[in-house]
Amino acid sequence: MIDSEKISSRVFAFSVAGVIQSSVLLTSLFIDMVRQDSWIIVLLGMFMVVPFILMYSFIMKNYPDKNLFQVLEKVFGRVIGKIISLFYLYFFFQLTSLNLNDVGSFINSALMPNTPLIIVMLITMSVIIYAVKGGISVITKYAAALVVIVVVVFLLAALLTLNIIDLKNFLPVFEYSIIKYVQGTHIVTTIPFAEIVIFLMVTPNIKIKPENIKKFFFTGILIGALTLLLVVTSSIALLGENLYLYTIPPFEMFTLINITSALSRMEILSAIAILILLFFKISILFYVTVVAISYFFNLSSYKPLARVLGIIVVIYASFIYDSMIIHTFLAANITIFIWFVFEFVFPLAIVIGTKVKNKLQKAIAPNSDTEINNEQQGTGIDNNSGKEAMAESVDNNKGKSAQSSATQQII
Amino acid sequence: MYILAVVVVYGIIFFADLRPLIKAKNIKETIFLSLILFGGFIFSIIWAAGVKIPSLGESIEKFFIDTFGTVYPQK
Repeated sequence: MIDSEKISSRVFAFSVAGVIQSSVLLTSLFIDMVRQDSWIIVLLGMFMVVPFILMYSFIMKNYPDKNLFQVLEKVFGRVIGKIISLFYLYFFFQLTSLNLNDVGSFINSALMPNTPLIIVMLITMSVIIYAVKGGISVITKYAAALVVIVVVVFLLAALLTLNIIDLKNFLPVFEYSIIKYVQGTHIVTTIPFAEIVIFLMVTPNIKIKPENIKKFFFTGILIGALTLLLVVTSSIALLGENLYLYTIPPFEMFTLINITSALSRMEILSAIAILILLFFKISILFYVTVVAISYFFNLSSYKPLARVLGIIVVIYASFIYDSMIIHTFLAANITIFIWFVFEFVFPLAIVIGTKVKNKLQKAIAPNSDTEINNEQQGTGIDNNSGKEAMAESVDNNKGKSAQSSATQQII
Repeated sequence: MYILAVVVVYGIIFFADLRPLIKAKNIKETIFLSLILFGGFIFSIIWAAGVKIPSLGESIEKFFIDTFGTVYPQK
């Protein structure tokens, strides 16, 4: 194993929650689609992700000491397994670069508009490289603390804006065509929720009882999804029909907090929460990318790759999309289908492959048992006949010796 | 200016990562690590020189959209 460090099941659950919570920046992708009904999309996404989790739990339960690449090779054979692993390498690398680009764009647009994007990404990546070189336990050590801080920050925002929320902002319900809800659910399921497929790469590093995998997966998803729901509903209640005009609604809603002069303009809290989460998510994504490349090329350690790949990710993230408009359009129309292949189609193929293999093994096992029994019986008969033959030969020898003694007596 | 910065940053990384390169378990690993180190360095230099490198993700997604169109209706 490239990284032998282990994380506890609780840390794993909080890591799942953290990865989902970090998608608060991406809410604009579906908010633009169904506006005041975005909360319905999040709820639908929560239900739609259930089969995904069941599949991931099945894979983790059946292969507790193997990462995704090893599972692919075991189920599909060496050649096909390696080809699918190569596609996954693209997926992990692309995810890391996209999220790094999101961090850079967020800091650039909301906090430091005059700082070049590349500098922001380079500084962020330097810290991430340092964390990744520490291993999975270092990255996830503070997962629980980060998740709790973020929940508290967004709860605080919801409470401090209670005086200005307008529940009429949720009306009218189901105003848009069904296809918009389908697309929105597709986005929320594949982009934040099912991205937890990355945890299949760290299965050997999770100290968890096989029967508890599902429980901790669901706990993590529930914490993450409920936080996302809180953020989306607060944004709708506060910003109303103008919601889609804002690029980062969860950030904008903090600007509206105005209890007294001391408690106003608290968007920095939101910025800190979003940055913490994105840092956490990119660290896990980058760790998975580096470990995946090390496994793919059969290296003894992933650490020498961290710095070099870090620089390549920063450079790639700087030109990943020509503009934000193209990025948003492709994400909502094409990326969701490509991601679906990695998050659903390949894991489903693994599940089917494993079940077929298990059935075949069970079908072969009784046959081979009977064959063994027959063989044993066969050797038993031979042994008996051998014994009989030996007995005959002994008798013959006895006979011969009796004959020879009689002849001697006559002589 | 960018090129100089890249050379300096990469120089530091390269020397920092030389030790594991030497300690690599076999010749295959040494070759791969050297390739990624030098490949990354060349990639950085090309980018710093201002050459427009096509984005892999964007190219793939544009290929799909040109070939199959969009599944969901636009507006």
